[in-house]
Amino acid sequence: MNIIKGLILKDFQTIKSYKFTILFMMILLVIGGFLNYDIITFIPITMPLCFGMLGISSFSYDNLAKADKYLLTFPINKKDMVKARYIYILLFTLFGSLFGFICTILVQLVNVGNIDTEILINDLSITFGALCGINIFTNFSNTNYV
Amino acid sequence: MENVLEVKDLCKRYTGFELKNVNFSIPKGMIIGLIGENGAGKTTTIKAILNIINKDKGQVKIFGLDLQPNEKKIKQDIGVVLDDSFLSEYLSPRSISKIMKSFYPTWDEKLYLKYIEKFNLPLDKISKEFSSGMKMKLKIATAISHKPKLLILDEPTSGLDPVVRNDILDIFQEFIEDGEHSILLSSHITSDLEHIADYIMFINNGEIIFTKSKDELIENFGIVKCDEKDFKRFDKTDYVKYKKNKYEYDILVENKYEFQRKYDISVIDKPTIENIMLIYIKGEK
Repeated sequence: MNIIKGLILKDFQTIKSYKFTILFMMILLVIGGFLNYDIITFIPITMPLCFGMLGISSFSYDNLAKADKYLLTFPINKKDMVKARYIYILLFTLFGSLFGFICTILVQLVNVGNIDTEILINDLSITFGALCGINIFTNFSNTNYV
Repeated sequence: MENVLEVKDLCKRYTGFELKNVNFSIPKGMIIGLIGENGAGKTTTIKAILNIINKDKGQVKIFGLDLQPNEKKIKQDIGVVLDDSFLSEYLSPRSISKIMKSFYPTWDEKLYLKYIEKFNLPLDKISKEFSSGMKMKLKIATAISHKPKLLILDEPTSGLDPVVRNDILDIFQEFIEDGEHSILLSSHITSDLEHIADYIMFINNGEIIFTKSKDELIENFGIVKCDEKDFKRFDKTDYVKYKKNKYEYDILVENKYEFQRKYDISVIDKPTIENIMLIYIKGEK
């Protein structure tokens, strides 16, 4: 388990400098939602996709450094590497969905004063779609290993 | 003597290149220097040993165990520097330490920080901003801080200035001092190997030409410098290869004392590893 944790930590550490970009993006979307309520359908799509794509970018940084070859000198195997990538992207997309969910509730409370459950159910289905989409991308990036 | 690494009949074929039946072993407590020109097969040998690339044939035993079924266990005790790959350049030395802790239970953060300080590396700067020498120092600090028993290093001194190279060679020397650790090191800089290696393994066109102790190479091999008239009296079987220069011949002999006796030659030069490598590659027979 430590090996998987290490691989996930490596990916998080690689893109940790983007934390302010994520925060800025969230604030921008919420402000957009306050100014124009129609944007509310856009928030739950944007957040998980942006988080997922950001997650995938750490794979590109690994490819640039040819890190996959170096990682194979560690006490790990290719299966661990593939497994860790899926877990990492899943976590990232879920974080994105969670933030999208929170932002949607916040915008609803401020603009209309109550929570529309229909919109939240829509959010969940969009999150599921984003997870599927991002996992297909992960599948492509894992083709280096298998 | 106990071997930490044994390679038997290792083969790997690519289009236009083939690693042919590589056989060698590394005794405990020794430094083996792997020399050869670019594209000779040094990196391919190292990658095939570490199972980074799939070998076509052959057996690799490390610490007495077959690599494939015991890969995870064996790799806990190996430190590696690869010339062309490392962790992402968007990681700082501090982040690397956090990551390495998860992979190696023996990771010694204090030792790592000691090397980072010794090499004057900024702890919180991402390695993308490092010079090539600094990147190499970071690779070396990362490879030795989990206290491996075997170090496998592909061109670890390339891109470093002579002062740092010397410091690093001293670290390698310290590493094997207790007789329990060993190093396989490939390098273009043959003077580095003359400095620290116990054995020299020469690879050319994917084939191991020889594996000899460094002292044997430097003491027994010799270079005879002579003109064409002298050259013609030497029997082909008495020398390894010769290189024809503008005015003279450089002849590489394997046993200079015997050659000296047989042909009554007063002076035979002591060769450097670079001389030997050059005549082997460029010379004729």
